This record gives sequence, structure tokens and C-alpha cells, in this order.
Amino acid sequence: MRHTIVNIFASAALALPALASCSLFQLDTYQEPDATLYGSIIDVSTGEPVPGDIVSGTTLKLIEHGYTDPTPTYLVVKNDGSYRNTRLYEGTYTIQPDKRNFLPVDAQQIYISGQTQLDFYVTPYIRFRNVSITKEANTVLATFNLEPTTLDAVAEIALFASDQASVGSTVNSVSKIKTVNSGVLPTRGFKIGIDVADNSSYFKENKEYYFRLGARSSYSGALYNYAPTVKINIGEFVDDTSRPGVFFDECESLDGWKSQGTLAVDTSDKTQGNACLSTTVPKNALLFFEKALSTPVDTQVSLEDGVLAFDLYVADLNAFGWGLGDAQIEITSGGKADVGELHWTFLADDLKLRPGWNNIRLSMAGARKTGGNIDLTAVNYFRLYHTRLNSDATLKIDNIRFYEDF
Amino acid sequence: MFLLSALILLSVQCDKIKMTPDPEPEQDVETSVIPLAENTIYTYALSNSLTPGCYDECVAASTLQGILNRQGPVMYLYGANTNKTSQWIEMFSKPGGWLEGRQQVKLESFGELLRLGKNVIKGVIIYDPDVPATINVATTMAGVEDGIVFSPEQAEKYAAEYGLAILHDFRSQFDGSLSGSAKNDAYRWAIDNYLDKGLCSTTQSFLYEDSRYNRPVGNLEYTYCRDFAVKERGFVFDLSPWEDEAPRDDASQPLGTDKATYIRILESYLRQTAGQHMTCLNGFFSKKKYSEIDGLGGAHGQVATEWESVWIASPYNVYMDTGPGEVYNMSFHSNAPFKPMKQGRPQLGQPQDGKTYLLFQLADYDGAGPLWEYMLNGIWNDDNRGSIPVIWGINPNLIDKLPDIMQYIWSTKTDADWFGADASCAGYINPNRIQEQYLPLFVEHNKKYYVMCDISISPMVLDQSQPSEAVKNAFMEFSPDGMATIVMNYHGGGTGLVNHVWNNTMPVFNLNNSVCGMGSQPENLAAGVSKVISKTSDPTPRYYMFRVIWVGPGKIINAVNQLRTLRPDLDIEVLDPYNFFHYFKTTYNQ
Repeated sequence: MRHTIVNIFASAALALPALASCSLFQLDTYQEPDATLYGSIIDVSTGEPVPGDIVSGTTLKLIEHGYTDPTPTYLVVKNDGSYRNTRLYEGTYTIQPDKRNFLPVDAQQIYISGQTQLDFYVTPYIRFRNVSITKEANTVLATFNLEPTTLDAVAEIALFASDQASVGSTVNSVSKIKTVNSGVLPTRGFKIGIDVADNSSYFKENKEYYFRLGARSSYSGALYNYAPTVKINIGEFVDDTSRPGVFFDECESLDGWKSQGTLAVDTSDKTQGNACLSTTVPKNALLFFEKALSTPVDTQVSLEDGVLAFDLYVADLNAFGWGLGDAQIEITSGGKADVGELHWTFLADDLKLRPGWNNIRLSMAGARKTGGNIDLTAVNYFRLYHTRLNSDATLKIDNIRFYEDF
Repeated sequence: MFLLSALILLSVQCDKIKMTPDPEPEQDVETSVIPLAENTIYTYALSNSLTPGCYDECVAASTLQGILNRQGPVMYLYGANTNKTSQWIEMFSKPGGWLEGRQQVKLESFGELLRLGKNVIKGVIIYDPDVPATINVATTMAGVEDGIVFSPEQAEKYAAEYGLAILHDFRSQFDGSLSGSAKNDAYRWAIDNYLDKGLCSTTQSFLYEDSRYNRPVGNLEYTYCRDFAVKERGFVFDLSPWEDEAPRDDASQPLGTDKATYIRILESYLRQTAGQHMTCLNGFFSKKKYSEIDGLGGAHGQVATEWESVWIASPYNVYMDTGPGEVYNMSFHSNAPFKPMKQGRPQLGQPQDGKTYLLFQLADYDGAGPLWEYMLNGIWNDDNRGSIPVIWGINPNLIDKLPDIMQYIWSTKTDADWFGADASCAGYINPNRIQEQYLPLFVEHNKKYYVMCDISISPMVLDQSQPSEAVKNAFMEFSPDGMATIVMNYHGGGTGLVNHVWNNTMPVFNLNNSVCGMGSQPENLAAGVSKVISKTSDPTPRYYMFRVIWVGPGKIINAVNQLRTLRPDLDIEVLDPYNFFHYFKTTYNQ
């Protein structure tokens, strides 16, 4: 309900003609809005407040009685699940949470006067359990379980970071969001992390930042549910090569490697160890690097969080035609292509390739599958090919490894 | 000028200023009975705020509606999230429609609904949200005792104010002390006190999901459909057909408790019907409770659970109507006058060598839901309907619940639209599971519905093995122009079907279901059909029958055109079902 009185300024003779239809003298009887409504959104099961987003988060819709076509007023619920409005008119209202991160509740009538408290006891769509947020190496890592309160799939989980205490899905400078899109049992463990060194344009060493863990239900219109915000001093960045991982191949020798180009060990240019592999493939060929292992590698990663990483040197981007389906990067557990395979399209834009060395990181969750499921405990094949070369092309590769990125 | 502008703004808006807050006026609530007027339809618009209160409103309104509509088409509900309720009543209120000339009176509030209901209800039955099965037991009781189903909150708010007696309060009645499951204790109490005493209908029964997962989120599934259950005084339940896995909603129950109660219900029907008539089980198993959900586990998939439900019901002469859960106002529609319908027959021709003959069955209208949803301003309005012959698979039993809609469909068919019974026959059942002594009853039941719908083809008989000789003999009596089957062998021991002609009379055919979900993308449908049809130099005519769900003929035309491009080696002709089976029989007999 709009009460336009709040914008009245000092009187002036110039304005008097305009008041013909609305006596100025009546305004003397007007009461300022002085009633306060306050309260919290409380988890009916735990008795704890249900935190949310202060920006685009939960709102309470208020409709004041006594009007034929009332305009609703919306109260914003703060990050900690509390709300307060001190400028309401005394009277009867219908109030109902509008945008929500909890199961719908019915509208209720309330008479507001003086200091009126109204708490909403609700069931959040998702509860967090066993939350731990710590920094390990360069990663702020959260581990946790989820307890959805409906059978709806969990749409996504997220870790948000900011120097603002109101950090969340709408207030953050860095975020990591992972799609889940499945039902979740309380026994299922989750991990999600933010690599602060990778985001050094924002994170500064030895500074404190707020981190907040969120999860969103696929229930239509559901907002994020949150674990409590934590403040972490991110300390010093550590050397990236200390990132734990398992090598597919360190690219120190030609052992088992094939190429349709001139394959060589290059000790003068490398990103790891003592050498990298280089090849120059003629325009009419396609295979750059291929290796089948006699002893498979246990990658020690999951399909959900696993990453295939390697360093790739591109001499000339113009040597490659960049059309969909022209080129792939593949790993398999079948000892050859197309059997238990994960593959990614080798596209300059997707991989953000630049001339020179590129750090390639390929998420296994985003890979395509061919020929059945890959066995990540026994990966034994790698291939990189390109079918549309504009000219002879040179690539170098080094440091092919697997690790988990949360 | 700024000041002037501000004051002008004030003058324009001053009529909206509330000078002093008004206390809410105390008003006497009108609770007197609204007398029922003749030739009048009372309408009520349901709200849908996705809240438990909204769920409760819908349950109460629909249970009351069921009792009111025993007297005729008295009460009609408008759904909040669908335009179908308004479209259907507008359709039948047109000149010549069965509702022409009836006055519509809108009930403005839930209170007015109760005042109208006081004409017919004897009181209130309060269910216990903590034992969600009691909403089904309360619905059963409402039908038998002429009650309205209330939640505890509704009872507190309305019962005393409107002078409604409390017929029964289920709160705290069931704790699992008898069976190890409060849910099963509730249903077993209802079996003992209502079903086994012969107080419930043995013609219509109801497998409706309870409030466990729907009420907290204000999901209205299985709320507004309760009217027909109450009208028919049907027994309402929600149980798992599996005995090897505890249901998700009652994980601590002794293994197999749900199934044991389920069987008790089926046994009661067979005992009471004594082979005199069959029983329709309206509804579907709860996917949320009894089948696999991605990420939440579950030993059995959805299709397997559907098939298991039919498998266990069939020996008790119980067949399914899987789709009423999404339909409003069945108790209203069921009052429509019905006359036997005609679809006619095409002129029969002769097959030619070198041809590949195709038949497309447009499905899946075996339940009331898709029929109600898609047959007005939906698939049935496809501009290309009439341009390609198809067989629509529709459950003939729906004349019991939606006779007006069935007649609308039959009366608006084109010369290219043909109808067959789907699924299985007059009701979704596994014919091989019917006990031999009840096959004559099965024949009698189907003859009745096939004649009323002028159907003589059964394009999708579902079973777990190929039809037995006895079953084929039974089908010959009501489906002589052909039967097609899908055989899925979940229980082992069955064998697949070879297309043939039974007793030189009835074609028996395999219905190909491999492309059923591809209809919305004709290029996929064409590729899928192409995959099924092998290359050959044999000129003998070949026959393929495909089932495609929830698309109109336009998509089929598009797919067939793409198939012709994809397979220039084929001389394709799409046939109507009568010529298809007639051609096949001709070729087979040669």
C-alpha cells in the first residue's frame, strides 16, 4: 500500500490551487507510519534461522486490509533470516512469504501495532549437514552432506566468496557452481572448492574473505539454501605444481607414443620435468599424439570432480581449421579409441588457446562418452587429433595428469 | 516548480491516502444453507498457491463435489493452473451441447461452498497429516458416509462455525502397532470396516497417491480427482506392489507389508464380484514412493513397477485406468448422457508386391488424463488430422467417466481417424493372467465396451508372454479385425511373438514400441523407423506397426516424408488399421 504523504514538502502559496480536490487541512490528522513488524524465518526442525540472500532473496508479501485494490508491500528478509520494518501503518494485514528457499506456507492475517513480532516456522528445501570449509594448498574446500526435504532433485551446489559478509548467490566476487540435477540421499558426500590462486585477480594473499556454501533445489522457483558463512584468511598462494595429481605421462620420452608427424623429445622447452614431446604434422594428416599404456593408470579421481590436465604448446593457431567435430582429445580405459571413452572437442575458443604454451584443464563431468563407461581406475589410452589442418602444424605436449577439482 | 509538482502529485493521489487505520470490522459469517436450484451448475474456482492450505481446499472441494454430483451435473471446479476446465465446460454449453441452457452460479468463497454442501453432507472427516494414508481412508469414508474430508486446520476453522458434525477424526488413531506400519494399519482398518463389509463399490476402485509428498509442497496431484472416487463410493489406497523392497514413504515397515495389504484388497474385490463383473482400478502407482528415482535409488524402474502393478491385479479381474489423477470434474462429466458411438469402416483393398505397409498407432490414451488434456485445443486439433490414416489408441472404459469427451472425439473424427482399444482392451490388464474360468467374463466385459465404441481392433495388448490360445480365442470374440501386442518379460518364462493369423481369422501382430517417444522430432522418428525396416530384394509385401505417443498426425506425415528420402529403396504406403490387418491377413494366407 502506498502512502504518498511521505513526500510532502513545506507549503507554498504557489501550490494552493492544486489542492482543490484534497484539503490540506486534513493532512494534520494524518499519522506517521510507526508500527514495527519484525521476526525471523526459522527452521521448524532445528529451531535455527533459515539464512538466505538479502539481494533477490526471500521476501514477505504484505497486503493491508481496508482497500479495494491494494498494492502489496514486500519486506526483504536479511541474510541471517531475520526481517524488520519500522515504517508500517497500524492495521490488519495479510502476510505471506513470497520468493522462498523453504516450502510454501499459507498466508495469514495479523494485526500490526507498536512492536509486533511474527516468526515463520518453515521447512527449508535443503538442509546442510556435516559442513567443513577449510583451505588446503590453494583451494578453499568445502565438504558436506545435504538433506533435501522433498524428493525434488538438487539442481546445483555452490561455493560463493566475497569480501562482503552478505556473500551469497547474488553478492559474490568469485563463485564455483556445480550442477547436480539428481535426487540426493543424506549419506552422499559432496566437495566443492575455489582455487584462490586461479582467481588471484580478486583474492589477495593473507587477506580475509567470506565464504558461503549454497545448494538449490529443483523445486520450481526455489532460492538457494545456505550453510553458515565462514571467514577465512587465505594466507599465501603456493606453487601450482604442488597440486596433487596422478600422471598419465610426464612426456619425458617417446616410449609408446605415436604421431603422424615428426615426433621428438624436446628438452629445451618444457613445463614440467626435463622435457616435453613435440610433433609437426603434415597438412594431409590428423594424428598428433596417441599413446596406449600397457599398465593402466588409476587416476584416483571421480567422474564428477575429475580433471584431465596437460600443457599444450601451439605454434600457429592459423594452422588449424576450427570447426565442430574436426578435432578431439580422448582418454579411454579400453586400450584404444571409442571403447570406454571420454572425449572433448579440441576447439580454440573452448580451450581459450593462445599461441605458445596453454594450460589445458578438461572437466570429466563435461566430457562426452563413447563406447560405454570409462573405468577411471584403469585409464590406458590418450589421443589428440585434428582433421582439418590448413597447413603443417606443430604442437608440443607436457605434464599430462589427472586431479580432482572441487 | 519542484514544490508545485509535488503538491500536484499529492492532489492526484490523495484519494488513495488512508487517513486513519481502520480496525478489521467484525462481521457475522453467513452459514445458512444455499438451496440447490434446478438446472443450475455451481462453479468454484480453486486457488493454487502451492501451499498445504491450497491442497486441503482442493481435497475438501472435490470430496464435496463427488457427493453433490451424485444428483447430476451440479458442481464444477475450475482449476487454477489449467484452462482445460473452462474449455470443456464452454464446449459442452454450446448450442446442442449437453449443458446447453444450464445456468452457472459462481460460488465466491469456500464458505459458500460449504453452505451449498450442507444440502448433502452429513459431516466432516478429519484426516491425520502425520499418517498420510488417512487422507485416502477418509476419502473412502467420505464416499460411504456422505462426508467431506478436512485437514485438522480446516476442521478447526470451519466445522463449528458452519455447524458441521465431526463424523470421524483420524488423528492419532494409527501408530503401526498392528502391522508394524501406521500406513498399513490405516488401510487394514478401512478394509475391515468398509471394503470387506461390502460398503464400497466393486466396480470402481482408486489407487491415489496420499498426502505424504504432495501436501507439504502444495502439489495438487491426486486431490481434485477425488470427486469421482467419492461419487462412486470407491475404496482408495496407495500401496507398493513390491514385496522385495520397502516403500520410500515407509522404509521401516516389515518387508512386504504394503504388498500383503494390496493383495488383501484385490482378494476382497474378487471375493465380492464372484466373477460377475470386473473392477476398474483408477490411478497409478506413486513414482515418488515405489520406483527408482535418479540419485535416490530404488530397485525397480518405473516401467517395471507399472507392469508389476498390472501383473498382480489381473488375476483378480482388476484392470487399470492409469490416468484419472490429472482430471478435474470426472464426477460431473460422468453424468453426461451417452449413446453408443460409431466410427464406421473403410473400404478394403488388396496388397501389392514390393510394398512396405506401415501403420501408426497414436497413443497413449488409455487413461482419462491424456484424453482430457490433449483432445481439446491440443493434439486433436492438429491441422493435418485427416491427411494420413492413423489408429488412435483409446481406452473404451472411459465412456464411464468421460462419456461427453468420448462422444466429442468420435463425433469429430475424420475419415482418416480410426479408434482401437489401448491399453490391452477395455481396460489395461494382462490377459494371460486372467484365470481361465473368468475368460467368459473377460469376453463379456470387453464386448460391451467394444460395441458401445464400435471398436474391433486391439492395437496394444500388453503381456509378459505371447497371448495364449485361450486369450486369442477370447479376443476373436470382440476384436476379430486384429490384435497387436507388446510382450515384456519381467517374470521370465515367456516367449516372443511371431506375426500370424489366428484360426484364419484374426491377425496377431507385434506392435513396435521402439520409436514411441520420438514423435516430437520427426527426423528421429524417421531414423528410428528406418532402423527397424531391413533391406530386402524379396517382393513380398511387408508390414510394420509403430506406436507413437502424444503427437498429432502432422508429425507422422513429416516423419514419413523424411523416411521416403532416407529409404528410397522402400515403396512405402501408410494404411488405416482395417486395411493394414486385412492386407497382412491376405499376404499371410497366401
